[in-house]
Amino acid sequence: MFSDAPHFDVRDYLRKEMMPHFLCPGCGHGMALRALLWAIHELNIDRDKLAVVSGIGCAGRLSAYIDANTFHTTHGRPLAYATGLALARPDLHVVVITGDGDCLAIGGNHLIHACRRNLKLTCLMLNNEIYGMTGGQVSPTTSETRLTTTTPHGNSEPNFDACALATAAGAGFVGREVTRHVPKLKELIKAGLQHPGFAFVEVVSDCTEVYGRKNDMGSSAEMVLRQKSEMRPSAYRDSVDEPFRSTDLPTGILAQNNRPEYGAALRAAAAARAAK
Amino acid sequence: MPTRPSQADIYQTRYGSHGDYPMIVLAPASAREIYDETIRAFDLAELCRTPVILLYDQVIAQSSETVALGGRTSVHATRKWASGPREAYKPYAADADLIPPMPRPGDGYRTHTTGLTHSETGFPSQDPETVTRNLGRLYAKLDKHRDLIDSFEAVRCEDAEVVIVAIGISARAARRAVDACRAEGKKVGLFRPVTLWPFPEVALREATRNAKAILVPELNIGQLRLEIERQLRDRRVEGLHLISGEPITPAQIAAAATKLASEV
Repeated sequence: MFSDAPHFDVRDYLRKEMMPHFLCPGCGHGMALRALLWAIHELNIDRDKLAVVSGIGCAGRLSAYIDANTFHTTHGRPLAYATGLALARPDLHVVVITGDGDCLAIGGNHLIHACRRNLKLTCLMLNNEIYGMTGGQVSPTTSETRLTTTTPHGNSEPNFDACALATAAGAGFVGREVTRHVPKLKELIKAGLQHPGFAFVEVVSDCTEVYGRKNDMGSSAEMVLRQKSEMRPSAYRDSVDEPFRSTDLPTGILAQNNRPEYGAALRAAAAARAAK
Repeated sequence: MPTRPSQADIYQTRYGSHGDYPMIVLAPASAREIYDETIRAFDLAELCRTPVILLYDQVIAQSSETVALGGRTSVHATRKWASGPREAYKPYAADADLIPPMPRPGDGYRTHTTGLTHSETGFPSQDPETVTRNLGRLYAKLDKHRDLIDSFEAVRCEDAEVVIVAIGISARAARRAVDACRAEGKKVGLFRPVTLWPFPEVALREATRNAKAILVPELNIGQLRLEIERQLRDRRVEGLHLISGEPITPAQIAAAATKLASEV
């Protein structure tokens, strides 16, 4: 059940000329990329019609590894680029890969308005709670008390719940999953890709080298285990084999609605005007 | 100052982004010219595959002028799309005109677009030779199309001893000042770059061949003057700078030009 379907080989979806990749050993983003490619594979999405748009940061680099139409855009703006692309080319399947800093800080406004418009896009926000590539600065999702290079005495800002934000802003589909569970993550991304409106998927990922090291969180394997013991994803709520801490992190599909899709509404309005 | 004229973004438009790159900036000075230059901006953007900035001040932007539209049509706005076999395709391998054809998402080329320095394949590269070659091409492609990019207006410059160099509303005022000075027998001309960047330096040198001094009226502390000084190092270049949020009047420019003419 948790082994790859025999016909899915991640290498078929990667650009070999881009290897070796630039992610650090133990980085969770590789699992997120694998889950996305697996979902694309199972949905049999034509990669000639697949556009992957990413921003800046560790997550932003992932688009380059995917053998599809890929766009590595400016910091915080992948949703803006993707909005233009999806509106101009409704025949394309547009996926955005962004990080917590890219999506919630620099691009925070783009996110809420993308949610509000409900254009058909799938937005994967890889949340590792840190600006990894730029040197480990505090991000909007850094947990309270955590050490970063810009919070040497511990972070004193409350962190963002991106899924609650996306839900409140009106996203058609909101979900969260942890990289610990790649098959579940794949299923969630599949559901997001199939949603007719804006789908926001938060992927709880890990930054071992910068965040984990600074906070003494152990090896990458220990950090992945921590997703289970410390974050208390709802998937494990009934499990008895691990003691839970009080932090609650709901996972799975968290919100779904059938608000009108923006692109179709815009095209219908334009057609109605043209017919007059 | 919102809603007040200034011309203080001359270098912002040229050097505003990070990295080393050339820029096309068009500076219209009338309602009719905004219309023409907007069409030309799209033409040049498509022809050279580059962003183009249309730069004009508040007075030009909000003036009401009677114009007859039409006459100018787009000539280069047909984009060069990629064609041919997918395997051999390199998105930044340029044709003889140094402009690579663009891949259209969905046509099967599956290319990568990035703001990082990249090779002809489109993938990031930090190879010194590759980076030098590809950044160099950005400059070379504009150099190659300067005959289409350059645009300027030279008014009574042939015998001018003082040439005024100005853009936008300052150029409109300067045009009136030229007439006033000529009526007084002063040999004053106007050189107005319509394409601000790349600066039409060949035309400037031609227009100022006989000039003993140059006057640069502008609504900033001396931005355009800096470029004119750079281009005409052997000539006296004076600025007339106003940063009060008001346009410079024709009388102010005429007085400055007259004073300069009497000194050279």
